[in-house]
Amino acid sequence: MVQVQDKLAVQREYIVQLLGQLTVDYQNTKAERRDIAECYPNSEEEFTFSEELELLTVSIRGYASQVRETETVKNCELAIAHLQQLRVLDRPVIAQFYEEERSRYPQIQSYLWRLDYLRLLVLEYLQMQQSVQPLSA
Amino acid sequence: MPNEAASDPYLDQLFEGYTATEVAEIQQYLAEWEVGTYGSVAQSVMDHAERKGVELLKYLRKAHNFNKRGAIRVPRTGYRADGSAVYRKGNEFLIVRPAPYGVEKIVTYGINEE
Repeated sequence: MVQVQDKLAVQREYIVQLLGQLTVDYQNTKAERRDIAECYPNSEEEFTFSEELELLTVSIRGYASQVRETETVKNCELAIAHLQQLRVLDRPVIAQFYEEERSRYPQIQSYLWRLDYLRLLVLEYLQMQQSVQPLSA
Repeated sequence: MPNEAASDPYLDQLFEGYTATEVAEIQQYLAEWEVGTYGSVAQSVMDHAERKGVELLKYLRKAHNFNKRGAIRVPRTGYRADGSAVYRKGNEFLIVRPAPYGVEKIVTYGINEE
């Protein structure tokens, strides 16, 4: 039990660090995001790359912010299920971009990797937490 | 309508440094936002502003002033499977989700060139 608690503390520290790093990374993608917005015509049928990325970003950061502030999240089981659905490359517009354009946009590529890594860290953290506190919310 | 911001533990942190008039203005805007995956609405908007490197009240004002009239909406009616929809106008966009009483709440606001 103590070992798991130690692992949780270490994992939470990773989450806090990565959340801070992603804030800097996001700001560093500004020029590339501007270029993408200019180069790719908007579709009236689906979210653009920028909109999809923004929604993924806030969804994943929201859970990570809860872990940073309270060491857990509200509705842990729902959060785990949601995080499993938030795989970055499951979004068609992002997968297509990644396949075709990632080499042109290294900052965005790095941001996508780190964002998905944050998702996995939070997911693993919550699953580990549930294993020691199966009845907690 | 229930006000999610009323029981928000991060409000004191959010209001720090603002005048009483500005606090009232911020409170008005917070009621337009949904909590999403954050612990609270205040936590959400503070994180948004920090990530975007913009002053919080300025960011909330921009989201509030986004005019849906004449904006392109995706999907045109209803919501995606994840419950979201986006309004897009010029280089700005507003992502929303439905809330009780037929209103939509803001999930995030962005500018493509920010």
